[in-house]
Amino acid sequence: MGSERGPDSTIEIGSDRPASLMRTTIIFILGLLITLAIWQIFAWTYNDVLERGVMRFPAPFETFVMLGEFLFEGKTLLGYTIYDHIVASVSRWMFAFALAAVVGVAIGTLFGYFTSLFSIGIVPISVFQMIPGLAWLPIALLLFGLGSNSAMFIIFIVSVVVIIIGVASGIRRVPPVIVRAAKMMGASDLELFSKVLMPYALVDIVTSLRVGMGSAWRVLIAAEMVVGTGVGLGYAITMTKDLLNYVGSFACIVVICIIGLLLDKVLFAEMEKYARHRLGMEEGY
Amino acid sequence: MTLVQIRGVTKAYYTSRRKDRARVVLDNVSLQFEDNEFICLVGPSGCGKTTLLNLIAGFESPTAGDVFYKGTKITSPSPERGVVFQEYSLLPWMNVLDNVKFALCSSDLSDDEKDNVALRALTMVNLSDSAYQRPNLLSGGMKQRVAVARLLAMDPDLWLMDEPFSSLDEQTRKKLDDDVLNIWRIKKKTIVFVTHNVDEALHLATRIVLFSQSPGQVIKEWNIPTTMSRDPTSSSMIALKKEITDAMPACACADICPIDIRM
Ligand SMILES: Nc1ncnc2c1ncn2[C@@H]1O[C@H](COP(=O)(O)OP(=O)(O)O)[C@@H](O)[C@H]1O
Ligand SMILES: [Mg+2]
Repeated sequence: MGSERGPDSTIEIGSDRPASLMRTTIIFILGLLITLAIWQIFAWTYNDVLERGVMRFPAPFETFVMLGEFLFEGKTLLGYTIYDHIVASVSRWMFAFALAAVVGVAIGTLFGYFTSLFSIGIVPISVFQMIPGLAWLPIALLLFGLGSNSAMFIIFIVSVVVIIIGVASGIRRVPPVIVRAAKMMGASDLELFSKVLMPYALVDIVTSLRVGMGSAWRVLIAAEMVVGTGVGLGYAITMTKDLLNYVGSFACIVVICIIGLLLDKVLFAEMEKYARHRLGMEEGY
Repeated sequence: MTLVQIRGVTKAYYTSRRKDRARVVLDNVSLQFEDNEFICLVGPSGCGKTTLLNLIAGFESPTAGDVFYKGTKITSPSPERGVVFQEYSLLPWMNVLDNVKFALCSSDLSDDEKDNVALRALTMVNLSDSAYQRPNLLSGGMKQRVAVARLLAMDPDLWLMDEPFSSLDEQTRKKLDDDVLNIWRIKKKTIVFVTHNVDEALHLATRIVLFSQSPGQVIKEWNIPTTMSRDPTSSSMIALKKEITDAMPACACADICPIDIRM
């Protein structure tokens, strides 16, 4: 009580922040270097020690040179620039994931709020969850045939299941006394949803979107590899592999990793941090 | 005027998933609360005090019997009947002021007016200094005071308070009890206050209702005239306390040996 501090000035651990950010960055870079080192050692062992095959195992250096050519010298891959492949994959992913996010949050909220709906609805969802992404392929092909739509269907179904489960469990964790308090204060259904349930479950919702996004991105690449989309990073990997352009495949894989890391570590990590801060969860409740 | 009328209310909960066994929590309870009363519900834990409050608030509906508020049957919660919960019930991401303003969400005041009402309520519970703090920075006593401030802002005719200060230390509890008593005197509302502490009830109530152990039934009621001294060392208070303690069920075995009925 009796604090002189103004609005929203929680005890800011400001001086710690840059230091800890630096620490995480250094650790992250160190981790990347270790990854590269393992790759380099493996390639070197494969190519120069074992002298195994006719094919060279692409080493980091040649991969990054080829990636540079793709990125900066306009070198094409299967008739498309690397940017065309990226745009094709990312837009497929964004479209299907956005649809999954909307549908998943809506169904997840209903499941979370109505206990009877949850106990029935969770059964098919659990069954769907057991189906590995690519096992949806026959269904996708039956519904949409070969091509982009099948890939998007697989992304959608894989991420929507993750999101429904995450959002429902987030809503179910809202303490009943909070819901009762809101109703007692005269909150309408809409206010209960938007001002109580959603904010309370925000961290869980963001987390489930983050996990859903990760699954979507991974299955997107796999789906593109099998449904014959014509353009896209996954498609480029299978095709370059078939053309024995392994360095090209590796360059695509590096691009996939970079995009995935950016989305996860930058976009969603920030969103989650923001959600936690908004809820005052960092300081405990 | 009769504010709340509880007519032959029985409440049972299913105790098995197959819904073939139930447990009676309240057994044919009839009570009537008048305007400007300060009623204390006293009874062993697990006897259904919270359940009764939930029925009056409209969070749950009785298995048999009816509950009326100002003559109309209670079917759902409403800002006419404010509740201070036993657990902390603030929204953690809103500061204290916004938490109190949330209690005005169904009123059609302008935002400025809501600010004013909320600040006035916070001043009444001595929390205007903490208006912009998040609940997680508040002590338990302060959190419950915010919950009281919410009701001050809502200004319901009926206040339902479920052991609001039982988790606080003795000192703080007594202080807050006095604050509630003052609010009741100034605002002339009706308060239904649950406690398991006979001393607290004797200090606050104009009427004490004693519940039996589970299944909850009304054992006895005592009216405390306004003229009677509240000094706990006065002979009339000591006598009344002895009377209530003697009537109190010996053990709260509700949670140890639940009563089952087969259906
Ligand atoms: N939703 C519920 N489902 C099943 N049993 C319940 C439920 N709510 C309360 N009970 C049971 O009813 C009894 C009375 O509870 P309660 O009203 O909270 O008692 P009190 O507030 O007097 O301590 C307890 O034994 C409790 O286990
Ligand atoms: Mg209780």
